Amino acid sequence: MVDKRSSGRPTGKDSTKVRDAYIKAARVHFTENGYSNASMSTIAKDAGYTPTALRHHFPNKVELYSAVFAATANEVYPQIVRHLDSPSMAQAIEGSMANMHRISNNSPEYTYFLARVPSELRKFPELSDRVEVRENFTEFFYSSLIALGRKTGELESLTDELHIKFFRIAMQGWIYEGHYSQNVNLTTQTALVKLLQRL
Amino acid sequence: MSTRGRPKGGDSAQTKKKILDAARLEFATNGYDGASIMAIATNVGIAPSAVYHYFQSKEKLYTDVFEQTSNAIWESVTPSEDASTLFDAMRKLLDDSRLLAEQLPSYSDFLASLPIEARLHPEFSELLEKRAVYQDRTFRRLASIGIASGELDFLTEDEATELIRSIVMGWFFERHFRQAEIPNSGESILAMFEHLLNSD
Repeated sequence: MVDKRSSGRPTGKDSTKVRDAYIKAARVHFTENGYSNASMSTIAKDAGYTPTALRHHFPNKVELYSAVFAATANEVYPQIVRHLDSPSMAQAIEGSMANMHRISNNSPEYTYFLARVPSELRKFPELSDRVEVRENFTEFFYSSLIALGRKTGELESLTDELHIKFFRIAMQGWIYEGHYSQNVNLTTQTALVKLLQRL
Repeated sequence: MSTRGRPKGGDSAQTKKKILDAARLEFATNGYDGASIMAIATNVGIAPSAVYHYFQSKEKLYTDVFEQTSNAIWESVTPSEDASTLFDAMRKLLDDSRLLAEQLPSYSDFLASLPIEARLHPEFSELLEKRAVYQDRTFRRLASIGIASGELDFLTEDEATELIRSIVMGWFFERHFRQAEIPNSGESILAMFEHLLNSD
């Protein structure tokens, strides 16, 4: 097809602005309607631009979803991972969960989008290599968290492998269940910190 | 003709159960929007109109599948009165849940997708509240076992309940998403409670 300038494609700074508007609208659609029900043309309309321009930035839904994932992970992951610099594992858990809780209050579409990613992957395996960084991040975060606990002497009871799995299950479960039941609260965080002091 | 609705007498309960089974699988596989009454009817070997005879609408069918599936699952994973440690109760819960997932995969899959369906379809928000009631009954029971046995005596009942909720649902969802348990995840839960049991 001929590239008609009138149908979108702004250049430079404008182009970034348009792209961001699409991502923002798409994030809401993907979280509220799911990947399968989200429609490219409705997203374009909501973003205030044309479907043609949307296709220029993201030729298909897979590309759009990957871009939303990348933008969302770039926003959220650093705010979680910085707590690995805490002096203790208890503080790392406290800080990262409090931060996640804060983001879920202030920008619920960010954390709910991320909490829904694994359920979309189950339905649409074609998305999985586009969000590979998620699994890497999860593994990195929990193994670093356990390494911290081992270093400070907070963890001595089980093997590293079992510690990694236990805290991963508990903290991911808190994220999934809290978002799915629409009740993210910090009681699990308090319990995990007390548990750690008991170990 | 056998494909025409409404079988008589004793067949009726059986047909109803067959429809619920077929519907559970259809909803678990294709979601509420994607589920086809025609496919459900074909699976059971009846006419679509017969499905509507027993369940007035797709919405009613979904709600009834939810009730029946929740009752079955939560009944079987709720610890019995004689469980004396959280370690034992959790071991039983994990074993029962694994058995259910193996023998009746559509039960676990249906329940795992429910909260997302409820968010997509506000008419099911009431089911989320019912889901919370089922969960609370089981998780509060586990919490009080853990507090009484000393395994979780350093937590309040609310804290113990939320911790157990996060652990069990984390294990459950991760298994659902991957269609396989995360290696050593069940073991890590049991090892933790065994440690807490023996370290008093």
